[in-house]
Amino acid sequence: MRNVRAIALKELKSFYVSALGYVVLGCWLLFTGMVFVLMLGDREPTADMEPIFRNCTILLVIVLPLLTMRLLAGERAGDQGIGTIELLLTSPLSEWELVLGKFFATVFYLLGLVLSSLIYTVTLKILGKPDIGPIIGGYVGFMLFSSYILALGILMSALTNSQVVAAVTTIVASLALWLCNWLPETLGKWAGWLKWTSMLSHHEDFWRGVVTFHDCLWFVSFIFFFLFAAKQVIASSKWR
Amino acid sequence: MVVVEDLVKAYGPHVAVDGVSFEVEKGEILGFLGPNGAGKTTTMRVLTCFLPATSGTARIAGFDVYEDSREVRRRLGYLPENVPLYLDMSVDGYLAYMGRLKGMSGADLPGRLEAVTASCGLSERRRDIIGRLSRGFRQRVGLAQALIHDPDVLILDEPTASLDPVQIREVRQHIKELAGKHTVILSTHILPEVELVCDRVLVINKGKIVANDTPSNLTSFASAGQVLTVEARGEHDGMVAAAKRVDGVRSVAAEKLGETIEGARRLRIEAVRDVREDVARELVNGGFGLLRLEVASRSLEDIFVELTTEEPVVRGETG
Ligand SMILES: Nc1ncnc2c1ncn2[C@@H]1O[C@H](COP(=O)(O)OP(=O)(O)OP(=O)(O)O)[C@@H](O)[C@H]1O
Ligand SMILES: [Mg+2]
Repeated sequence: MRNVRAIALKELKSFYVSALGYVVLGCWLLFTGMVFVLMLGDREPTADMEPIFRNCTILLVIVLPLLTMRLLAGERAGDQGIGTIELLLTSPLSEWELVLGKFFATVFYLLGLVLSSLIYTVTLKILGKPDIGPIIGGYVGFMLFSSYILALGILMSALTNSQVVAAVTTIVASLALWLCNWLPETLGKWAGWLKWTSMLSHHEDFWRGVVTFHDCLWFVSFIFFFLFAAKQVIASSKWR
Repeated sequence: MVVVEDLVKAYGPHVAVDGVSFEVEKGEILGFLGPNGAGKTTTMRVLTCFLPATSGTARIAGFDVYEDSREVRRRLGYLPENVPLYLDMSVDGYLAYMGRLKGMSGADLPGRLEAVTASCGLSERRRDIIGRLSRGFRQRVGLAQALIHDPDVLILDEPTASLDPVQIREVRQHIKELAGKHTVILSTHILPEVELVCDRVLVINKGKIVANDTPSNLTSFASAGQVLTVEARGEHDGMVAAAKRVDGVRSVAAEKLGETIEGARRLRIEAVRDVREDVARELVNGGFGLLRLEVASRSLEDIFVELTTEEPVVRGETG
């Protein structure tokens, strides 16, 4: 666990050293802010945050892979095509610790996004009487959904030496999984399982304040699966 | 401390390390010497648990690099040949991070940072961002990183590459000081380095060990054969023929010796035994004016070239 903490702290710090952390935070604040203003100007303004969560989810699919693309691909082929992974894997450190350290760095980064968007919650609280249930549900959903994208991004980053490839494959895979949500409607009943594989179908309930064990388990299982797969990919370089 | 038995590493069909066996005693400094692509880095990567061996075993401090990899890695300091660093970190930040990953406690870190940066000539650069350091300073950071947790075994892949001459001397001195307490394996192309620093040399060529001996033994082995430098005056063909008549002479090469003495030539004679007297007699009898005759001492460089260009023959283990 000490190793996980050391790696997480280092990566968290480098998000802010490299300006990437600020760019993603800026994007997030810009878009949520615009949605929030539009929402307030609505003819029938609602005192909840559903529009923010709903509209900014797509933003997460596009910007979060930018955070993860570097994490493992960058260790293999560093800035000068040299592998810092060589030092990581020759340190007394397990592949799990490496992957978890990277993952927790991004999860802690997310907390920053959550904190910064509390500004909307507070504003709503001052302006009206928001229903706090859906807001909490929305935040839980936000964390699970984002962690899912991040874990997928870490897996893609483990699979390639190219950061660009890692980012693009993560975005494409996420969007494809996203669209699976609606495929059954046109393909017919036999394709119903496709809806189950889409993270969107497990995400929507959160916005309504419905936090089910099944949905949480779905997200946690997939996060675990992606991280486990990433760990196996890293470890496979040492298999005979 | 380090025991390697019949190590083979193949990249697909290409065998990079082919049945290498050697031992390193505690406190010894072993030098890997070999031309490009000999398999030095590959051997080191197997020892550091970065690559799995195709077959054969390697044990460090009694732990197998494959079975007990983590115990091995705890005891290792490693400087990879391309010196991988995080360019966005400060020297101190990077060394502290690596120290933590190597299992150091937060309390030990400041003292070690101080000591290691001082011994690697980085005292004034501790706050600098690594990306802004010159190549040589990055090399020093890489070396400091390998030393940070005071490991039992140090594996250094070309530790003096891209350093300035002063720093090369300091690093060599530093490595020598590490001997005794630490076991060091280093690789290099620089021959004097091996003579100066190492207790033992392992010459590797095409994945095979072609020599495993002390630097001085290697040098004296090679002079069992003999190379003579002879200067004499006379006609070229006749002189070469005279030298070649001597029993035991393998080859003779002659060149003109400039204009100072009319007709003087320098011969380089390679022989399998001591042929000084016979060569002298033959030349004098042949009517050539003998000006100088001396045994050309052979440098490790000659031996290196000889060992790595001829058919590999494994010589005396002194492990
Ligand atoms: N990842 C790899 N995949 C395939 N072949 C490799 C790989 N790494 C090294 N090789 C091959 O293995 C052989 C040994 O390479 P190695 O890097 O061990 O040589 P070296 O002795 O360190 O050379 P140098 O002095 O140039 O550093 C070379 O022929 C090289 O092409
Ligand atoms: Mg090499």
